[in-house]
Amino acid sequence: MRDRRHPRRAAAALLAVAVALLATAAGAAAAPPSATLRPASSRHALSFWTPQRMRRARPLDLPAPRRGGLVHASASPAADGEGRGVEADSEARAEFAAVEDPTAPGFRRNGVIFISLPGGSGLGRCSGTSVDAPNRSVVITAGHCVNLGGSRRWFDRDWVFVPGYHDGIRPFGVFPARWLGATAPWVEEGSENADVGAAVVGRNEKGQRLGGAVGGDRIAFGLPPGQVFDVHGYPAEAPFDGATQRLCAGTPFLGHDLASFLWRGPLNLAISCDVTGGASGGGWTIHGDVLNSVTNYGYGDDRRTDFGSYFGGAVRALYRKAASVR
Amino acid sequence: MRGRRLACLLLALTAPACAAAPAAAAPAPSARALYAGVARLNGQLALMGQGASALGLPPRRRTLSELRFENRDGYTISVVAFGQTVALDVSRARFRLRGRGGARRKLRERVLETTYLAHGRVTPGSIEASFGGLGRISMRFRPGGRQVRATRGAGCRKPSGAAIAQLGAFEGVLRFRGEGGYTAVDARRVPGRSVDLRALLACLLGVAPNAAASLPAPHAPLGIRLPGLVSPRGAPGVPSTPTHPSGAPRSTSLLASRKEALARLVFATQEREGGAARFLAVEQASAGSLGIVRLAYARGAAGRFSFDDALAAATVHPPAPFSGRAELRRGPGDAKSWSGPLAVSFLGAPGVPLTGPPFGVSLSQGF
Repeated sequence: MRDRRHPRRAAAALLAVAVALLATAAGAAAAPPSATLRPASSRHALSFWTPQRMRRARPLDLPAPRRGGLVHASASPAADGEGRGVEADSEARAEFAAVEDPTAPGFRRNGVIFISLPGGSGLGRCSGTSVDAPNRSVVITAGHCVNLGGSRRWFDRDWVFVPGYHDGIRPFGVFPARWLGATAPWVEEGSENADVGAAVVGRNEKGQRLGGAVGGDRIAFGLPPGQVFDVHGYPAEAPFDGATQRLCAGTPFLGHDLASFLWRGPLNLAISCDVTGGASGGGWTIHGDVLNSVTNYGYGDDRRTDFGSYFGGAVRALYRKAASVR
Repeated sequence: MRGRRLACLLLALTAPACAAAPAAAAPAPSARALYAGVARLNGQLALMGQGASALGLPPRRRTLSELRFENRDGYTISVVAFGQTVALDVSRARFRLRGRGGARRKLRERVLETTYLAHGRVTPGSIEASFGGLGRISMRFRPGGRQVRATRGAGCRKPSGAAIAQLGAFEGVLRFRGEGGYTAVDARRVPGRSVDLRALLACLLGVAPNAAASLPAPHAPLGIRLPGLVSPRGAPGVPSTPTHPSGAPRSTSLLASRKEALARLVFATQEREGGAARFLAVEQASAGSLGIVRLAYARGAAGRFSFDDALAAATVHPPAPFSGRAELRRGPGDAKSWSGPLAVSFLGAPGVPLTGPPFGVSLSQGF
């Protein structure tokens, strides 16, 4: 379905991706840190996530935001607008429109990630995308959906991916993580320029691999930042409820966040889309089905702008490592 | 030493900044002075709501390189570099002496400052970055043989004697031309230092060099503590909340702010009972491969910021680099109007309007 929306871009996409996949990394990326989950943990995750628990899961509320005003798209939004003593911004936002059929071929690769938070601190959720890989089992999401950032704390309890999720329904089953990884700059110092994570998931209840059940988006690295993105995700904070997949279609690159100049890694990307918590990790695709960024964060007083990581050498290294997990 | 002086003398014929190379007898900077460049940048970002540790350098970024000199046109030029970040700062300040004898203080009357942020390549011995069409830096650090050590004299809480900084000079190319040509820099050798950030933090915070330490929270630049902008931990404060319920005079603040996707513009004024009014405008923007933070500050007589007791109306008429005046009027309900020809001339961006419908405005009192 998404290929039909951009038919003229399809040929260019193939060429661009081929070039991107062949290109050498801009710099030698450090080996991405990772955690391997025990098989028993994966089995527990499958039985743990009942529809009721999935409905109860809330966008991750990170324990210690590193910046005032900055809200991860997985975090419960603080009342930043009011807190700054400025008028609330009431201008129109880019529309994060509901996808009519999240199980349709163009959309089923996107899904919800459910997590049991460490220390019994609740049930969390993010968004993610199934991508092409030899093991047919790789999910790409935000780094802060797999790891706390700046630490070795992994969200390794009951981490599952539910592609095509809608209204409590799991049309393609539940895929439990067996391996989690994130870019080195995210794990080592929580660099928002590299807030990208990956999971390798096990088979669903029917014994299917993720790629076999829903397929996978292609993924591109090292492209110019000036792309036009389709932003996918499952926002769960108001005005959304997380029940279904949403899409900001054809939103162009706007520039870089000022704060991006302070962090390690390539400058991040800004686009216009009114994301809220829960959309974190949602895929930004170009040319229909080529994953080229994921939702990372926004600002509490500017809900119209969404920031995502540039897919460069560090993300390439992460993808390669995930794709090689057997 | 003699050879270095001769080289500098020869370079000085073509590079004016060389004349500002450090004199051997100049006192070594204190630990706080070594941290000042980062603190200033952190404060600017905190003003824009970036929070306490937007510049939260983790200890693994061990080297902080900094150079600073006065350009021949009177602007102070500094470059602070760490990790991948290179921040070139252009500033000019006007001071006024106040008080008598030992109690004399330098008060800042007016400050203009623009910081250009770029991603570059920074190593303990070099800084390389492009500022797009505005210029570039490609310099290597040459240690001059002097060090700052973690001593009580340097202001360390826990003196360890460890080397905190190497003093010396940066050599190479620093070319920069501000927007519209407001300044032009062409420096080949300038005084600078290479700071071991972990050792500096250990000194300032009184912790062991290998301890996990984060940067001190930013202070409000220029002493302005505006409700809603900067609080001690960088978190947004709450307007109209008495944050310092002491016997200090009450302060009244007006804050006007405009936010766009990748840009923010803030105008603020604050007056303490019986004191001068202070005016501040800060703009942040991201333009291509550059981030830009512009700041303008002025002190003026108390009458330049007036308001009624009910905080329903206010008028501002700040001195240069501001121009014009603006009025805030409250209407029925929450309606407000913020109008007038008030503008500010930043370094590199003259005549920026500070009023109009896109601005949200608040007028509040605190202690």
